[in-house]
Amino acid sequence: MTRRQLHPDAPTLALLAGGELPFWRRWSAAWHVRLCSQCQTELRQFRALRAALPAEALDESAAADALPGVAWSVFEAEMRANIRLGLAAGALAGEPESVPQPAPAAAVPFWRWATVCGALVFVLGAGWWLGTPRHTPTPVVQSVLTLPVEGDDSGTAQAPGFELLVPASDTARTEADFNGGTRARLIDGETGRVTLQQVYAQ
Amino acid sequence: MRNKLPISLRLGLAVLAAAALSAQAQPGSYRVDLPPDAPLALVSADWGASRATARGGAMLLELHSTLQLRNSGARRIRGVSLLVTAQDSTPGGRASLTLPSLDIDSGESFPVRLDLRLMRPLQTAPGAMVDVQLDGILFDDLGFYGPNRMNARRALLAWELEARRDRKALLAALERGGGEALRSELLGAMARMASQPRLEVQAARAGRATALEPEREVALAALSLPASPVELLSGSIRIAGDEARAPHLLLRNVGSKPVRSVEVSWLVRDNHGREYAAGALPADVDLAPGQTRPAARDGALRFSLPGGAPASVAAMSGFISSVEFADGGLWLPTRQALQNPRLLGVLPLSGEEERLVELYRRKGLDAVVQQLQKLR
Repeated sequence: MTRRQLHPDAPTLALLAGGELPFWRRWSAAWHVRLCSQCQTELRQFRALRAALPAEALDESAAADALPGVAWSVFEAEMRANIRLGLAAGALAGEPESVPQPAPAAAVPFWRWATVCGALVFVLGAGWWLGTPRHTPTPVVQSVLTLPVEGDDSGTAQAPGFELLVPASDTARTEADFNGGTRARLIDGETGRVTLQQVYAQ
Repeated sequence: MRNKLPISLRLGLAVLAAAALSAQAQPGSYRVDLPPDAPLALVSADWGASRATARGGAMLLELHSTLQLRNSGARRIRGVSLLVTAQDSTPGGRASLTLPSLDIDSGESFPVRLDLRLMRPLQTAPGAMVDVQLDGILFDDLGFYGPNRMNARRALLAWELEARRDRKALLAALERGGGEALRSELLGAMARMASQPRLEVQAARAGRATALEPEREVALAALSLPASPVELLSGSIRIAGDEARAPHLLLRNVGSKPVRSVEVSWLVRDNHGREYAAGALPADVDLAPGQTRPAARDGALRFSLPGGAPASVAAMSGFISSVEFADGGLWLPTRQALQNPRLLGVLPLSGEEERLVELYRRKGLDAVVQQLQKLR
């Protein structure tokens, strides 16, 4: 990506000069312009051009008053009817492939959000990958500390203790004893190697 | 792209990336500490995706590691036990990892896989988060090396003697009737394993788990195995619903040697009359020959059926499954003693039987024969 590609484009600067950008884009463009002398120059030019135009040219209602002989409502109704007719005819005849489809108005914001979503997916995926064991674990034995629920004195809460959670496997066997510890016997079928794991409560 | 990403979004992405990375524990957080004179040396330690995450006021350590160790002594190693400590005084802060059934020659390396979860307080003294220390090594001549802090010697020796007993029986079948006789033994063991009902057992440290079921004290039925040097004379246990707690036992040394500890195995009968094996109670009791002493525990066990449904306990019985003498010797029941019809359908296979059955299932009869002949 080049430095030039990061500059706000000319329409954005023009809209910024007129204060017509939405808040978020205005804040972003203004931030860039503050740091970029080239864009500051372009922005100044747009502002100068805007100042040079007569006030009526920038006022929509004034533009309508400038052509009093035109029946604007009739003109608008005819344009809408023509558009509907064109759409109906297109649907009956089938859309010719050569007709270029108009680009969606929100194309730029879409790609921006797509990039953001892609970056989020990448970061979360990287976090998951970094946190995943890179070897295939043998049947995993994990001790889980069961703590009483605070404020629960109903007598039905489970007493604090341990349990070993072993994935369903024919090669794992767990045992517990009255000393509070839990042990597991794991047999790796491939190597025939046995591992005895014990987690102590005391 | 014509415009920059908004600064706040870029900041958010940076924070997310930092959070993902910070979950990885630092390599210096783990220490493998073997005594310099130990006949075991550390070749490498890959802590893989081990990580530490805060859970309330505690830190949850997920350990996924492969240690590469080498037998740097002259004797063959038959078993190794390691002590993994995150915090000595925290419940769930300490674990042991025992590897029996090894056959490691002098100079040979072998991997040790470590997949554990441990707890430790958030605020602790600086230093390694996890310490891996040697607790013991058992050699092929049944000699032992190590501090034996967590009774590694008893566990390794019991496994080894039991394994020798069971391999000898299978080898006898092989010599008596060839491969078909051995296959028949292994298939019989597989059938036993498949038909035995399983019960999930959880240990609770204290207190009753439920106030809904009335608690009652029941007498323990004591099973007596032939030639046991310690007898379980009587006992009682408190039962409420799916929970049994506070066993009281009366033990008598009927042998000629002083006893250091015993292990009592439990059988649980549910309301439908089905019986299950349900763990064991190792108890350190000094018993002189002829002496009778009580042994008691405050702990509790909870029982559930596979799938999680609570198993209502109707009765419990126990039997002496191993005895450790003061001179370090160990008594285990013979295979004939375990043929007791009451035990046969309930007791799980021994660890060695299960290992050989698994080897047969995965690699066939030849692999089992090879093992039996190598370790005879």
